[in-house]
Amino acid sequence: MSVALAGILATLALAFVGVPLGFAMLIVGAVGFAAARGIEPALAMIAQLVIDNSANYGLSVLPMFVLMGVFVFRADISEELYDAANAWLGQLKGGLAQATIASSALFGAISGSSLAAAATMSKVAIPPMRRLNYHDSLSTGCVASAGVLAVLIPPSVPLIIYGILVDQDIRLLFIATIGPGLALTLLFMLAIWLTVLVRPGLGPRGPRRSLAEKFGALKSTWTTLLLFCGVFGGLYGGIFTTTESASIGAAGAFFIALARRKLGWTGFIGCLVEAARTTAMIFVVVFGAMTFANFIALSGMTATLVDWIQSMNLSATGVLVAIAIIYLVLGCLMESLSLMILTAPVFAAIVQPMGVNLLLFGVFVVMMIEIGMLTPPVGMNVFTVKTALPEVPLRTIFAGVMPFLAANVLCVALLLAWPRLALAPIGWLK
Amino acid sequence: MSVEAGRPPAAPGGPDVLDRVLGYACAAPLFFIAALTFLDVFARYLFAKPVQGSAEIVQFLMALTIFAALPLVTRHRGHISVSLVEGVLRGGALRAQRVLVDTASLAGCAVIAWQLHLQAGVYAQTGNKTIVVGLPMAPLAWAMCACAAGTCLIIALQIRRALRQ
Repeated sequence: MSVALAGILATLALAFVGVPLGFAMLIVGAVGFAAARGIEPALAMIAQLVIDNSANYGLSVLPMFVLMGVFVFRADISEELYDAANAWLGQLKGGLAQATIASSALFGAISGSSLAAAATMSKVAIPPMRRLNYHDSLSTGCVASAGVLAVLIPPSVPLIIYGILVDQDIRLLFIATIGPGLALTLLFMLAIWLTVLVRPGLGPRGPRRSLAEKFGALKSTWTTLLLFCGVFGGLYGGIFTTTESASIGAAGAFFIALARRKLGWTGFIGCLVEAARTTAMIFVVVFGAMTFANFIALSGMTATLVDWIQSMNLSATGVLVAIAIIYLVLGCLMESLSLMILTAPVFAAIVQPMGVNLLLFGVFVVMMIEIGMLTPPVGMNVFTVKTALPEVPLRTIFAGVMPFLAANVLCVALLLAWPRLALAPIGWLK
Repeated sequence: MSVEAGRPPAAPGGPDVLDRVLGYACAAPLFFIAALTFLDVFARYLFAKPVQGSAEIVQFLMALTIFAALPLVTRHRGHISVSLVEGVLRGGALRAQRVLVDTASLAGCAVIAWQLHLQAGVYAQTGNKTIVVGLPMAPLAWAMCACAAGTCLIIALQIRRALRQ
C-alpha cells in the first residue's frame, strides 16, 4: 500500500512538473513493477504491452472516430444544425440558448468533440444571441456548457479511452450513455427555462417562424442526420461492429466535407495528420496508464482499499458519492481527461468487487469529467469560449455556467439513484 | 492539454519539410485503415466476400500510425501533460524544468525503443507471423523501434537546444 501511494505521489510530482502524463506513468509504473518483480519482467511487460495495444484491430475504433470528428469539423455543418434548431425553438423565451443546446447535442453526436463544439458554437450561436440582446452570461455559459454534451454523447473520445483502460465493450458503453445523454440535454434546457423564468431579460424571444420555414430549415440537415443514422443506427441495431461503424462514420464525414467543397488535398492530408497525432498522443498515455495499472495491481493497493472500505460498511452508492466528491475537488485542480486517465483504472478496480457495473461506472466517470470541464479555475470549455470572445470577462462565463453545472450534478445524482437510466437501454439493444 | 476528436486541424501553410515528411508518414497508414475497413464492410455485407486478413492488416497499420505520428507529436510538444509550473517559471528555472521534463520523456521513450528492438530480434529469430495472411512481425517491430528511436533523437535535440539557450 505504501509503495503504491509513493508511486502515485511520484507520478503526480512528475506530471505537475510537466513530464508528459504517459511517460510519467510509464516510468513510475516500470520502476515500481521492477522493484517488486525484477527488472527483466518489468521490461518484458512493457514490450508486450506496447505491441499488444498498438497492433490491435479493436482499438482502431479510436482513430476512426477521431477522423470522423476532424472531417465533421472541417465540413462546417454546425451553422445548418443551429439554424434548424433555432427555427423550431427560437421563438421561446431563451429559445436561442435552447437551440444552442439542441444543436450542440447533435454536433456532439457526430463529432465527439467538446472543445470543437464549444469553439464552433461560439462563432455560430453567440452573434445571433447578441443581436437579440441576450445577456453575455447566458449566451457564453450556455455555449461552454453545451459543449460538454459531446463528451457524454457517443462517439465520445473520453468514453473510448475509458473502455480501453478498463477493458469494457465500447459499443455497450455508447449504448449506456443514451439515457444520461438525453436526460442531460433536457436538464440543460430546463436550466435555461428556469433561468429566463427568474430573469426574463437575460434571454428574450426570437422571431416566430412559419411551419414552412421550420421544415425548410430541417432540409439542410439531411446529410448530418443520414450520417448519424448510418453510424449509430447500424451500431445500436447490431448490424455493424463498433470498428465498422467508426470507419463508415469517417468515410461518410469525408464525403460530406468533400461534397460541401470544404476539403482540398492539403485539408485532406491535414485532417489525416491531425487524427494520427491525436491517436499517438492518446496511445502514449494508454501505454503509460496500463504499465502503471499493472504496478498498482501488483502492489495490492486496490485489495487493501476494498477491504478498508468494506470494513467501514459503506454501500456502493456511498463509495460512488465519495468518488464524485474526489472528482469535484480534483477537477478544480487538474485537466479533466488527465484526471480520468490517472484515476479511472484505480477507482474501477475498487468499485468492481463492490458490485458496481463498470459500464455504469464509465458513464459516471465521464459525467464527472464533464463537470471538471466547467469548474473554475481550469474549466477547459470556459477557456475555449473565452478564447473565441476575449472581450467577455471570465467571471461572466463562469457565472453563466452555474445553472448548467447544477443540472450536471443533478444528472449524476439521477444516475446514481436510478442506474437503469444507463443500464436499461443495454438490455434492450444488446 | 485536452485531447479530443474533431479538434480544429492544424493551420495550413506552416509545416516545414520534416513536418511534411512526418505528416505523410502517419497520414498514409491511417488513410489505409479507413479505406480498408470501409471496403471490408461493403465487401462483407453486399457481396459476402470480406477482404481476407483485413483485421491483421489493420493491426499493422494501427501500430504504424501510432508510432509514425510519435515524432511529430513530440516535435511540437503535443503530448498530454498537466504542468502546473510552466506558466510560473522564468529564465534559468524554466530551462531547468524543460531539461528535466525532456530527460524524463527521453528515458520513457528510450525504454520503449530498446524493448521494441529486443522484441524485433526475437520475432526475427522465431519467424513469428500473423495467422491468416502470414505477415512477418519482425519488420513491424523494427519499424516501430525506428520511429521510437527517431522520437528519442528529437527529444535529445530539444534537450540540447534548451541547454544552449
